[in-house]
Amino acid sequence: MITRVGCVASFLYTLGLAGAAFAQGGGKFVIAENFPPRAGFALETDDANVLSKAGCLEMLTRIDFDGKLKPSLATSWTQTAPDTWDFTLRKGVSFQDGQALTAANAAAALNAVLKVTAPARAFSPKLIKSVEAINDDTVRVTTPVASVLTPLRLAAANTGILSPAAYKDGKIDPVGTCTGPFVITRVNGQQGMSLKRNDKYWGGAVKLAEVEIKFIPDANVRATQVRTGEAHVGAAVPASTLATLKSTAGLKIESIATPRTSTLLINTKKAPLDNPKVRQALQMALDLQGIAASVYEGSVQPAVGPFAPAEPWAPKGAKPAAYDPKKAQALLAEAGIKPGSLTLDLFAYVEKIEFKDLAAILQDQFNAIGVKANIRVAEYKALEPDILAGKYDLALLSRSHMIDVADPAGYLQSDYGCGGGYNLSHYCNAKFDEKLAKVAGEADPAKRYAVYAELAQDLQNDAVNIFVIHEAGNDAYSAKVRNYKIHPLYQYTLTPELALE
Amino acid sequence: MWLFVTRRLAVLLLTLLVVSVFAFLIPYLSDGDPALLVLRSRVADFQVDQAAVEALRHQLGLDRSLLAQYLGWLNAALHGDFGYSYTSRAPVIDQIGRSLLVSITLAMSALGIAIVIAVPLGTAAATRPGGPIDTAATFITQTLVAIPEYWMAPMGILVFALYLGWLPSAGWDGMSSLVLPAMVLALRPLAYFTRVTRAAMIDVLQAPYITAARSRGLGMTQTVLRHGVRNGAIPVVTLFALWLAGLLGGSVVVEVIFAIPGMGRLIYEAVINKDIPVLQASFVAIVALSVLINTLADILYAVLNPMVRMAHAHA
Repeated sequence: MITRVGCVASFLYTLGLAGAAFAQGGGKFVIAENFPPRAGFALETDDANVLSKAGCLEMLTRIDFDGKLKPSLATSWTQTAPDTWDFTLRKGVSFQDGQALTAANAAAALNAVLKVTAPARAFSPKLIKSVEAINDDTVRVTTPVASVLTPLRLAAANTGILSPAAYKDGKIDPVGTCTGPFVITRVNGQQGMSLKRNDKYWGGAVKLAEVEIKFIPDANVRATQVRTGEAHVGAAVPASTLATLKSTAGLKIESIATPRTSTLLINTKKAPLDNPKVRQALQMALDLQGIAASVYEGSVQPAVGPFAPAEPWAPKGAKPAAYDPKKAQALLAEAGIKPGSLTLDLFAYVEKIEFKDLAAILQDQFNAIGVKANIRVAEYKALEPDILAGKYDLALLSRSHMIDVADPAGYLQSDYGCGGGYNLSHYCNAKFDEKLAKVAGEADPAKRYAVYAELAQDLQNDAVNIFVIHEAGNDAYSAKVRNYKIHPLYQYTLTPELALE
Repeated sequence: MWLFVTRRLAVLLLTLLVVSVFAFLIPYLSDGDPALLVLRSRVADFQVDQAAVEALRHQLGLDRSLLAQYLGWLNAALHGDFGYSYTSRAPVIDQIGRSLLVSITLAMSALGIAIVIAVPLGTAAATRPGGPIDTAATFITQTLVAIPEYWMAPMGILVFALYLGWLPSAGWDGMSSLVLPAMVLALRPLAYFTRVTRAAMIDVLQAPYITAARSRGLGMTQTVLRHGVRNGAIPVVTLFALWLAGLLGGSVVVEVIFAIPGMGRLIYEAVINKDIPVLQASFVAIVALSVLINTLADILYAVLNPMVRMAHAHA
């Protein structure tokens, strides 16, 4: 009797919970994104990208899906002096709360992001001297030194323009204060966000009526969400799931070569890694073709340097570092290192799913030339303090070289300049800095790109770091989704054209 | 009884005071300057400006004496103000409130499932030790204890979300998203509750008053219902309280796999981000709730078992 009662009760209880499972759905466009807002939508942080991807935040200029600089809230811009740019605002634009976009509003928004304690990488007082409204529809931006990159800087999400109502008590409220095609209606912490169509969007009709963004940091879960139909788009799915996703009926994969390279950082300040021969030996120990084919299931290309071959600033005809274990052993011998005598710590972080497997392969290939590697796997935040402090030997890092600005000058400076803010390999070369400084004011892109290519080749030849593979971005999406594209800088996901069949 | 309750509450308050000291000391026990951590959390490659660090140290009150800092912190905490998260910049108390609600819902659902299945199963097993139900229950509970959650959770997703399509694979959006994680989380307590219920009921069913009841001609089922369940439930109450306290902050694996914004995930991310205010408030909240739940369990235990009340009354 008791067991029957118990069984029936447990069955009903479970059934009650499960019954609710069928109540889900509702016709919304659902997207599983990877990065949640983490800083209360502070525009100087990466939260600005969350807002621009969500189709809410817009900037004066924009990098379009073809990678080119295009008008956005500004229709044109002019360099009126070497250190001065004037941006003419688009007429008739209103914020989602009904306020008109004026030069004063835009200047106030840009100044707000300049005044914070820890300014953005792309738009800080070190790079921008002043922002002012010089008439109703012109914003003037001046820089401490001549800069041709200013219009590109104004395309960084950190320079997004919100209504004056968004800036309250030092906090940012993006709900109803953007100019973009979608209006945020609800923010649910780091869990998700709901949006609706902006019927008064200056850029024309918006096709999707309602959108739900789920922030799911685990890439495998995002892939599962799109497989189960819980999400129409699964952003940044792991390479290891591609074969399964491709074979799943009703799913498509959108892939793009990203300006991102998986790199094995080398602590160049630490002996014997301060010896270029040792670094070159480690570089030659790695079979990059094999790694691309195995760990990444052929979905990526082996790296030819920091920049992928198709990028305009990549060295012409560059090839991956040669795989030559024998020569690597000879280089180690020349550096006075006996086989088995060198043990290095290799850091890998878990957020990049492939890194655990990659670290194991690197360990094996280093072992083949007589170098031992101890792998330490943890969350990136747990590893970063040691990396920043130079308490490491080798560390895997996935790094975008167009972070914030669509020109690699910022990346080269921050990652390889002597005073670089993100110089994790602790590299310092006066000649490198000189060459980079000389092109800072060069208006001709072709001339700038030629110098970048030269510097990239120097980094590769000197094995400052080992560039392993050029990453590809893979998003999985339902076949019912129309006009889905991956933005080359991951700045825009929800666009007016995006539609659901 | 009131003396017993008063004593338990006094111990509770004393424990909370000690906990507050430990919570306050968390930033001093970690290896980073809180002001530096705040600045670092804002921009990844921010080059530290010492003047900004000092200004922030002053703003956060870190240049005051330790005692002054503690009293200020305690006063604020007693008013529900645990400051702002270093990473989200939102009031910590709001985050804790949201996450705690999620964790309590998840933990209560899991324990509800466990109790509803375990008590009848354990009782049935106890009525005929060595019988088919007992053998099956032993096999099932031993298997459930051996299977880790990090295996069971993906398997659940694979079967119920991916192949059957009955349940969502992840997220926290209504009742449907509660089912799979609650089921996975219920498996271990279910096993323990079943074993404890079985053992307690075997003891109870051998008690003289049960034999007396049976000798008066009362059937087995009625004997168990009228006389056995109340006494057999006593250890389950204690176990329930312990599991509830444990699950509130300890279901990290399930919360991470199912992308559930509960306390486990909040603490996990706060540790990774060195988000000190969140860690302090989480620590206080979890310990306070654990102590409160255990105190309530002790009181309930005393209500259910007169021997406990009498022992305290004469102490």
